[in-house]
Amino acid sequence: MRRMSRGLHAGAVLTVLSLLLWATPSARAAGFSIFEQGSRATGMAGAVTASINDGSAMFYNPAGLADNKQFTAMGGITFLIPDQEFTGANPYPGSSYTVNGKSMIFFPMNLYLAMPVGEGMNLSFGSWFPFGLTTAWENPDQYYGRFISKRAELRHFAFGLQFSMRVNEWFSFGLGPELRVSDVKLFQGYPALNPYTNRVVEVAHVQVVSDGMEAALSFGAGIQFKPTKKLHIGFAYHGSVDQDYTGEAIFFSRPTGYADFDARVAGLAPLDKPIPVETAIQFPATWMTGIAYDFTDCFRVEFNANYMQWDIFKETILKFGTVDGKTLPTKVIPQNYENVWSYRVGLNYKLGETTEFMAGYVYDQTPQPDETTGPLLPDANRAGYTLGASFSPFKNVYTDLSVMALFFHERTTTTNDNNFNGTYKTFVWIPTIGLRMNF
Amino acid sequence: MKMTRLFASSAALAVAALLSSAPVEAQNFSKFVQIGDSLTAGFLDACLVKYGQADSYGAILARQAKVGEFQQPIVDEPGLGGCRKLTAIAPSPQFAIKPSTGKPLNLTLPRPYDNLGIPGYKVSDTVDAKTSADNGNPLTDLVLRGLAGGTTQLQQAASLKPTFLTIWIGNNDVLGAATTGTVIDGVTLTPKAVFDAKYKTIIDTMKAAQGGTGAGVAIALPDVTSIPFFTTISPVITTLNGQPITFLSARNNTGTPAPIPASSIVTLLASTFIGTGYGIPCAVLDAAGAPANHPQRANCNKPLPDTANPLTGIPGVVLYPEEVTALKNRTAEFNATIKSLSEAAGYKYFDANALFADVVANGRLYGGVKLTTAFLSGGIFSYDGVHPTSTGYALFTDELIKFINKAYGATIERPDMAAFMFNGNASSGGFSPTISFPYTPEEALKWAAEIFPPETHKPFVEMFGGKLKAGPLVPDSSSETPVRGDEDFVSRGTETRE
Repeated sequence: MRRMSRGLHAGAVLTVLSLLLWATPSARAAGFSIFEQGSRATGMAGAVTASINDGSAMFYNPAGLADNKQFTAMGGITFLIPDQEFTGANPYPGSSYTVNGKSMIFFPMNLYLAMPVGEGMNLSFGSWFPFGLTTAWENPDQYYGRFISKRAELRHFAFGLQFSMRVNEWFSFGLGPELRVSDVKLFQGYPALNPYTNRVVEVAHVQVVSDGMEAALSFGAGIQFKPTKKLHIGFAYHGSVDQDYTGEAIFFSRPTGYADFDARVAGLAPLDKPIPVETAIQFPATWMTGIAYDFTDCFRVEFNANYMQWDIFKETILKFGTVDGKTLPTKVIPQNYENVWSYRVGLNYKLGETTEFMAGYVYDQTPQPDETTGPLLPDANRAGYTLGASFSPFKNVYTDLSVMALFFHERTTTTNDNNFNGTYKTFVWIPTIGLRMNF
Repeated sequence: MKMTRLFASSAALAVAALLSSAPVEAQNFSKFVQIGDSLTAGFLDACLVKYGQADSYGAILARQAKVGEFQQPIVDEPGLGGCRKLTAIAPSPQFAIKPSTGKPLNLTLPRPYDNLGIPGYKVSDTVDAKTSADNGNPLTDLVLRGLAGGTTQLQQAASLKPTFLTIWIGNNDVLGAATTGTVIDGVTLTPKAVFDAKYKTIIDTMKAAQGGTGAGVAIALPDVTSIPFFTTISPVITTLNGQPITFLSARNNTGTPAPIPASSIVTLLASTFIGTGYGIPCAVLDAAGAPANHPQRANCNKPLPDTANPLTGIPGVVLYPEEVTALKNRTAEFNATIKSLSEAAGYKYFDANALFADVVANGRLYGGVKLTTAFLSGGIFSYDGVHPTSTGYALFTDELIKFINKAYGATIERPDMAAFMFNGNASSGGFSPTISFPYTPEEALKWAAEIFPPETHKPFVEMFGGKLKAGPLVPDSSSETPVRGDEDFVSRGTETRE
């Protein structure tokens, strides 16, 4: 994967799309990846790699657009409605301690445009959000995990340009570059031991924000086989990205009321002024495999097994610049993610030419080890159940609806690196709506 | 009430933790009893006071293990011994000393306390001392109270027939030598043979009192030289021109002052002397451009005291490398004795020395907050630089609970460290600071007298053929006592290991 020069900004078109696609997605697939990139596909729990043929094929399998015969536009919104609760354990933050995730609704969007450029050939352009993260907790200035993270935001968009082609009756492929654009924000408290009271106090509120959107280049590719009339097989791949960020950190001072103590804190770090900061985040490669079978002309079942190479995400390093002759030590946040599989089953039933019903199930493993599961991102294995429907209210216009109930397994940590242990309970409703138009 | 053996009571250390929850099925805590010294008593900030005792490691353990009744010799505010209170950290730490007028709140308990920890106690005190007259330690009477016509700490512990016991005694058999900078085997340092015999008596007596169960934990002695009292002041001065040199001292307070080896230890008490120039080469002041009337010029080129002066009670503040080695070796010997005797009797051996070394090296991280052993800023050690804060005691108890749970298959719940970290042990309000740190000459002598009590004098008196009379210390006006002065140079000229 080639890395583009740091600070590269997307062009005007991408900027407009960025605005259109603004959203702060919360991680709803393994780690902070996101797999809900189209309503029809989500209705089948994302088990579509072997059979997808709408615009979302840009994500699920670029080969799926080889047979597109019209100019097609597809757009959708995914609503993410998380409900998160944490109960602490001794020795920290304490067995009587509970805190809820901040109530939030996110609605990341996707947009795909596809255009045939010849017999069995298609060119497509689109944007989706393969990764994203927002975690925030109630009473951020009081809760006991504030020295790890008060709020974390990561937005990561993919802008793809793909060419798809049918080679023969049973084989097609698609591939193309992807521009990955992202930014990151982190808010946390900075602790110190107040020697006058022997109590831990927050002496600064830290805000780390990247400069605008940083970009890097990757690619996606896929193939679809159709060895028999009823059997579909697909493989797809999206490359990894090592994304660098530059930005600034500000340590907003929080006076304690002890003047000489506050002065000492001020002597250790440059307060209330921007400090240059650099960091990087590694986004994993994704492998998708799928097999679908048409039991009848109107009933299809597909099974997918997807693999994400999360082991690229080993640590997050924050390097601070020097201000007023003071240089903060480099902060290293271990991640040590592991490669994981997800398994998806989807059902599709066609009622006539324009109406479809979908259902699905997904089991998604978390790549996050116990040691790094914490307030910054409390991930867990999860199981999701989906329903979906698609119908055509007007000629050449299709409306897709789906909903996923995503149950995170209750996760109890005992070996967190920050000794912040307890039990996380998470549930997410994910309704989606999409619109497809053929011209 | 005058409290002797302020720091001598302490021991070293440091460290960690608590415990809790009822392993009723795995271990019977219905009668939980403790033998020990200041570390068991919950001593902190150089005093015995309710806000420290409430979170002694035994009290935390008892709460976590859901012990029905756990009695301690609680002392009301403002405590006994003169609790230190931080009043300023710049340009150098300033402490107030609270009056030593705390009243005992639990004197009428008609039975021995469950926490029998007595600050200043050595193994011989545990076995032999029945009253304060026996060992010159006024806290002996406070805790033992002449019950049953006069009984020792060991006898009282045995009379309670504990179902679970902790023994953490022996710290002062090493610490007194260290805090006074005077390492003399058989005088300030308890001989191994004496320690072995006394400790065996303790183990044998308690095992018999427990019906031979040996249910309990014997706790090792930490390496005292790693606590802030010995690590805060570096022996190396960094001069203004960046040339490192060491302080001046003279071995055994005799001979020409010379730079001490870089691997020496300079105790926290040295700040009193350094503030007035002791131990600092005059050439350093010259290089620093110190004016002619700079207070440190009054005593520059004079040595930091190496060993205690039995006439004045002024302690030594330098431990030469061979003394450090002697302290470490003796600690290791004592721990070998504790381990072999306790395990042979069925008790579990908790290696607090290894734990302390780990905490010194790595600290402890809780929710993004790192607690360390650094003086004032680390959160684990209290204002006396020797004893833990309540947070430090909680940390120790946490580690001890983990050990007990593993050793006994118990399920005691670990303590809630957040409660300690965010609530602390603040003793704010009501006291107007009138005394600062470093001390005036009178204060320095008073403190020295507390650290270097009359009973420690006895061997010195005997060494001098009985010509000296052990008793209250009287300042020797002819001696070169330090005077309180401007700390400006110290703040620039001393390097701390924070």
